[in-house]
Amino acid sequence: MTSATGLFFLALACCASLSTAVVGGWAAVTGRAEPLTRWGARAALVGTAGAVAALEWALVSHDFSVRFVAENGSRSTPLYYTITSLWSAHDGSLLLWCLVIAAYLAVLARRHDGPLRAWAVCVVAGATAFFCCLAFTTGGVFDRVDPVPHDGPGPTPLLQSNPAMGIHPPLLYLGLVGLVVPFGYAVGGLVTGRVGRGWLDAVAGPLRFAWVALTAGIVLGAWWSYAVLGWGGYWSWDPVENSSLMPWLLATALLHGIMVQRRTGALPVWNLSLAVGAYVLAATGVLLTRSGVVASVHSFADSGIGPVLLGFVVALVVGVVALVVLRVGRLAPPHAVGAPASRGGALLTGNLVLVALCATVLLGTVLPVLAEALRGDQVSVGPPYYDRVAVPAVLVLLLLMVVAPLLRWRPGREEARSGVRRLAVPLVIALLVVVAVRLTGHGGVAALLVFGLAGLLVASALLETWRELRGPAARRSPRAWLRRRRRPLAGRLAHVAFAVIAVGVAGSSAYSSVGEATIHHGRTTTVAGVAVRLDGVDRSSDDGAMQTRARLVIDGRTTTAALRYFSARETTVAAPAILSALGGDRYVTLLAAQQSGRTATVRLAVNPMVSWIWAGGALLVLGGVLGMPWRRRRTAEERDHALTPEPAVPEPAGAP
Amino acid sequence: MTLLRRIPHLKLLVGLVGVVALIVVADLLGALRGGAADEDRTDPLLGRDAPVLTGTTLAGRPYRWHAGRVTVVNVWASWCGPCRDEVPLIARFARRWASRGVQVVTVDSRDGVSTAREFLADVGATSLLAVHDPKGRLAVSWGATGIPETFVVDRRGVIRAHRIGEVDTSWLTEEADRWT
Amino acid sequence: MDLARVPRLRRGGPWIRRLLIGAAALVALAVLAVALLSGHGTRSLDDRTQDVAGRLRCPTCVAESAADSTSPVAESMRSEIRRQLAAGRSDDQVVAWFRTRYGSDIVLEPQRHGLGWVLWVAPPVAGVAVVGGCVLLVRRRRGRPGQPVTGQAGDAPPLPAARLAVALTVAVGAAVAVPLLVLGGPDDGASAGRSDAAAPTASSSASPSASRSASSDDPVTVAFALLRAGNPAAAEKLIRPVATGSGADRPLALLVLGLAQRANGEITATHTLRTFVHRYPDHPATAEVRRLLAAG
Repeated sequence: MTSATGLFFLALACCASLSTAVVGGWAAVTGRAEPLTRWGARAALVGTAGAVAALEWALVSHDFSVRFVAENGSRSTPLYYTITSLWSAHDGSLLLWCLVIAAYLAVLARRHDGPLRAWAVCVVAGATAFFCCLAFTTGGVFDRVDPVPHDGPGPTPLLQSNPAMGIHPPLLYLGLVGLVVPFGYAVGGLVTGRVGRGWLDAVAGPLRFAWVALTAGIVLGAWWSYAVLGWGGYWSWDPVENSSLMPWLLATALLHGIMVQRRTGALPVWNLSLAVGAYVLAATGVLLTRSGVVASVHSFADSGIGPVLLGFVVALVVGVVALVVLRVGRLAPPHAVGAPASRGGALLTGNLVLVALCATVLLGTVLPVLAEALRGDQVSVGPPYYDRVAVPAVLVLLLLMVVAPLLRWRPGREEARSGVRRLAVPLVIALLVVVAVRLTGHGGVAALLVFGLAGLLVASALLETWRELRGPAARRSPRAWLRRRRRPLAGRLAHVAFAVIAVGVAGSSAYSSVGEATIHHGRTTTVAGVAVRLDGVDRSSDDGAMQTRARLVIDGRTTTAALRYFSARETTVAAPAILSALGGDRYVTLLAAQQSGRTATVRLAVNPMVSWIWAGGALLVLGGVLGMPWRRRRTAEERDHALTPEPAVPEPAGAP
Repeated sequence: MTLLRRIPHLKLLVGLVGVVALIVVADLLGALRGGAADEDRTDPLLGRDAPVLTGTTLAGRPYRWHAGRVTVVNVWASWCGPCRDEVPLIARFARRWASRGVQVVTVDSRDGVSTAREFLADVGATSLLAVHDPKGRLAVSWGATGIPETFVVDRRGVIRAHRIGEVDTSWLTEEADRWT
Repeated sequence: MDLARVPRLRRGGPWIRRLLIGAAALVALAVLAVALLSGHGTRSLDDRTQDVAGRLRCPTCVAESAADSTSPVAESMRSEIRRQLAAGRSDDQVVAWFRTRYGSDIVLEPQRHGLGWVLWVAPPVAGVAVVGGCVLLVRRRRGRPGQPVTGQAGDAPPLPAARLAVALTVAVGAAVAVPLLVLGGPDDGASAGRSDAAAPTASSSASPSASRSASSDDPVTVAFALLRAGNPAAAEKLIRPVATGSGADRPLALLVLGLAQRANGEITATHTLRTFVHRYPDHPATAEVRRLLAAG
């Protein structure tokens, strides 16, 4: 029964999204509003939501006659992880993907306000139809199983070890899928030629929303792997992580490219390309991670979904390139970005750095796959390579974040000098930071530079904010000032957050230390410079997993590190103990425990400043949310107000 | 063509892209024809001089291996499941081939001396020459990735065969025949 | 420092203030220089071991470095790295030592020849492209930037329908052509559509449908699936030849056989499980089986 219901809803979603795409295309060509697109989009949403609900119901009610439940459900899995097991395997996560994209479609198609949106609706509906049909034809989620088993193996143990499992994948999907809306508008812009103000206004909101979700998803993912995988790292540059990072890089570039275009009218084609690239990379990520290409090259030709997804990605790229080639000459009005030392110039440089970094990560992710597929050759690309590439890029980005806000869109000699003067105090602070860090440890030049530039950035941002707060505008009417300066301040907050993350990464990778030791019961042993005492070893069995827990006392704080053995999956998962502090984490993984409980072997890592990364991530998301264009449209009056050039330099604060 | 002419710096861009593409394509072609990268695909150990093999045997005597005879080097441990089947087989092979100039040296990797001795007694292979390798360094210096692994070294001390995982008598006989 | 007073600098405040900032900067620079120059190369042996291990792949793991992995071979590698570093070899020498033994794959960075070379050339090329792109764009469009975009400004005329049709055709053509090319013919495509994309996970999941393709699947996995699916009789029948024969997966086969017998209520179960415990005392499931036996 559940199977039939799910299949019915999935079929409904397929038909509805397909017809929305067709009718939407017709509406876009004729320029008429077609209410059918709105209802079609809603039907697609109902269909995908119904399919997801049916599968959830099957999971929760332990209906093992449904294939997906038989493969991923288990009676012993707690309810929370039973619910999340929907996206713990490929087929189910494809359904979630469909639900998210259908939701975006329904929101997008809720009204008709011209050809740009009409085209976007058509494109997004097309993508929705593609994924729904993919889920319908290849997934086989709702296949019947006969004979019906009594129980299933449950989701992969790693995916039932941390509550972040419930938030991280949906957020990531919300971000990755959300990039389809800017993509739709980009196609619309290419077709209709409306790449000016209207395009910017249309793209800004959806892009910002997707960016916030993607950022939160990535940071949560890093936190999840830190808390679950048990090796003390949060980012290992594996293809799955890279395929969420690449769209983020391009989306970030686009956020800044939009600012340039808004102010100078330059870079319309560049921005269109970024919007297209971000979504194409998101789709490529699905291709890489969901088709088994990365896990095993040999399954590439065998899997049904791989070639189809490849076709989808190629169609996106080829179609957009064809559109661009067919009309590039008309889309690029000869507007200037500005002088090299203008804000436009700095933002453009930042854009190029982000794109170059993205291209390198893409090459590093894809080349090994290609090399193995084409000639069975192994190309080894690991964290040391990416670190070497990413560190210079991050340094340049940090520098640009310091400089760009101090530059004017139309610089003059006087402004340049004032910019240098405004940097004097932050520069001294940054130097002091570097000296202080250098005196406490030996982390290498790159880490020192990151600390220095981050110090510069934070000091400069705080100083500028302080200055503005003391300015007459803020004093006269703080609320009006805050309203007017909300988005620049949010941007500043995001930059500070980035600096905090960079510091956390530099600190934890350059100053960490690791040690391993076998500790005897009741005795204190020093591992990696930390005193650890073993209080005892407990064994227990619950929720389909056998647990071995070592009770440890570290620096006077009691904690438990555990090993969990999932017999259904024959996997052992380490549940590390993490003692967090602002200065650094003590990260303990249990490696082995003697049967008698006399000794336990642990690996202890001291990871300095890791919590800065999570704090910075939260600030970054906060900055993104605060910078969201809350109101749909500004009134003409506000728009005019916003367009009056900012004062070249802030007024002096008070008389000497 | 009028369309293309509107793209700024078209010639320069095409030129740049062309040069980069040429370099990449040339390199790809070179690589495809099986150039430098090919050597990585075969086992890097074959045809190389055998590393040093020295240490203390499980019996407690110092040991140093010298080239001169065809040698089978086997890495094992008492905690490894497949070794339980393999070690007796290796011991039988060693006894049978000793007279024909084949020497068998085993490396007991990451193991306790007493458990390893018990294990050998258990499977009836006490005669086996086993060098104790408590930290697994010997295994690593021989390029072993796991346990069990077996190497065949010829008279001049060059590694001729390398097998990951369990071996069987026919493989051992074949390799020993080939290099004696 | 009184931050509120800083803005006065901009208007040319008292020279003493500038002097102070300048002096502070100079002192900081000097301390920095001394700090950077002194104490170079004092990285501890632990740090260096960890660094070198971080550059090497753990040969038995999936996407883990020898520094992060807890597998036995990674531990041995760390031990050997430490010994060599302590003996005075440089980081690069140690990495090279591992390369000769395990091949280029052991190093987590791409080789500097063949395809790996592309990866080393790409980032500098990208860097040059960034600089070149900036110069090109800024030089070409020097001067006052355009006005802020308002109203219809920046818009272009719509694309003629004919060109739109061309683009659409090209895209659809590519979408159809590429999967066909990859699959090597439409016939394969039709059959591939059925096969499961999650092939790597299918073998490890205890799906009862696996029993239908028992010939191709690992009998241990299938038997385990049957056992989980509540059909111990079939599982026992399937696993018996594997458990009694020889093969690499004997411990598991033995375990499954024992569990299946136990589920069938056979007296031999205890014997089989005892044999398992005795033979494979280090198997991760051994502790649980012991408990099972103790419970009766």
